[in-house]
Amino acid sequence: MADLDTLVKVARDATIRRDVADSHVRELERWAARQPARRTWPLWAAGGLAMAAAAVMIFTIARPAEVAPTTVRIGDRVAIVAEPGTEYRVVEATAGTTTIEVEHGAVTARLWPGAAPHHLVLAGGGVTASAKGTIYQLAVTAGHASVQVAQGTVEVAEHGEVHRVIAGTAWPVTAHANTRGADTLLAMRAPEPVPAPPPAIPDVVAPLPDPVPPPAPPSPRPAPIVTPRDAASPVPSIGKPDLAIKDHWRDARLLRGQGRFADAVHECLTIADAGDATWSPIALVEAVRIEAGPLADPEQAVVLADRAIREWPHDALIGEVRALRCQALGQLGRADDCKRP
Amino acid sequence: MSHLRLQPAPTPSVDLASLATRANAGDTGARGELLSELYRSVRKHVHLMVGASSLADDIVQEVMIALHRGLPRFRGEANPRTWALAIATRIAHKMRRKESRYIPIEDSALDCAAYDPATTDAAELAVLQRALAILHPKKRDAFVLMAIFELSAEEAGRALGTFANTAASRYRHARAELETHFSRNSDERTVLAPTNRVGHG
Repeated sequence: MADLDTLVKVARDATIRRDVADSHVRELERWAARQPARRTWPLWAAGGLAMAAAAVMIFTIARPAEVAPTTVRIGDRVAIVAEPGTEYRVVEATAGTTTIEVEHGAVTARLWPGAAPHHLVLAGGGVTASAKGTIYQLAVTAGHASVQVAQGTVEVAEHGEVHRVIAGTAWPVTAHANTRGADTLLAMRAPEPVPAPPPAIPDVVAPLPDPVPPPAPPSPRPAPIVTPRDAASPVPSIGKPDLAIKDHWRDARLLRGQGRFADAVHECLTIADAGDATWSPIALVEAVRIEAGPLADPEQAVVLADRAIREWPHDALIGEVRALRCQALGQLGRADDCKRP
Repeated sequence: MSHLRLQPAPTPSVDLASLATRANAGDTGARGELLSELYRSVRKHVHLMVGASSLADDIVQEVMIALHRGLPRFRGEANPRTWALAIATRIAHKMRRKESRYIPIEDSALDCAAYDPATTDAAELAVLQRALAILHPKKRDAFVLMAIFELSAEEAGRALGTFANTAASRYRHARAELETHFSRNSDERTVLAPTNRVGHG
């Protein structure tokens, strides 16, 4: 026992040399002086990164969804993609020609090949771009036009000069590429083959109200295209004098939906000639709308509007007719005539 | 059991608490003196725990860096030496586990050159260090803290990361084993068998 206690006491009394301790502490102080201040920036950096990530997430979640371009089918072989904010109008949409005028913005059009030739024209900014089977875009920005071709070849006419723009290039060459519309159109399926006109017309004859209007002369126009969607509905029979007014109205709407605006107007006038107090004003207003809109014929729109006002002055739709008339007169530069009845 | 103490360690001749207060008030001289005093305790403590080896030197180095960095945050609630020994014990445990190696006692010769010959009987100290080497590290740590540095059971428990009763129990077992050892080898007190158990905590 004494031995252990002795050894413990020896250990208690044992001391490290003062100079050794001082030397070590001096070395420690020198080392500490060389050390940079303890860096707290990693913590701040980590915090900053976390806040940035949170901000990105909030921005991503809160950001309104990007406005998608509008895809519109015109007729059977043409589809267009209008970028957001684009103003355009379909000037012509017939079996052989589709003409679209771009006021500003960008319209990408696709023309699918078919049995008969079709002329697709995009016009705007003093430029006319036409093709016979392609995908291309006409963009009008601040009055300046540019054309991007994704497929096929496009002829761009400007001030009498014609430039051929091939796929993958642009006119002018410095134009900014925007392939979103072309990508959308490329992803679209080709239109269904156009079925042959129906061989037989069912005898669906409804009694016309008295007095029976004189039947319209038979139209030389072919029957409207019947798409599979319309197959279940009664077959339209334009120009048949023995059709009910409702059938004519349905045909008019169908033709307008197919882009056959002139035929739709003809069908509306057939109804207007029937002198039906319910349907004739409706058909006249529809004809005025088509003339002032897709057909871009303000003069004819004014003529039809005047007729509607003259024949049905007390109809509830006359207010809209007057508004359309004023709009058409404004397009003709005769806005002052709007005040006159 | 005469060394088991239930009261805090007696105040050393140098007022370490006063030095700590002055050091944290910006007195660089007091800080140097305090660190020097703590170094002397830490080095002896570490050498008794793990022997004189490169590992011991590394531990002392780490402990002194920790003390240097931690001194501004020292609130004076404990004796600075107790605080330093607790840090040294924790760092020694960590580094012994990290090293995971045995240190033959022959290689752990007492670092005589570092001790003050006026106050140190190097031969006796070497005998004690060899005797400590036969103990389990946990018992040895408790014995060194409580018998040699005269920490209370509560202080030793905090330093060892255990309860005061556990620290006291380890101390008692360590002392009993050392007494048995010395009674068996009373004639050749200085020829204690080497052991490989120094390196594990």
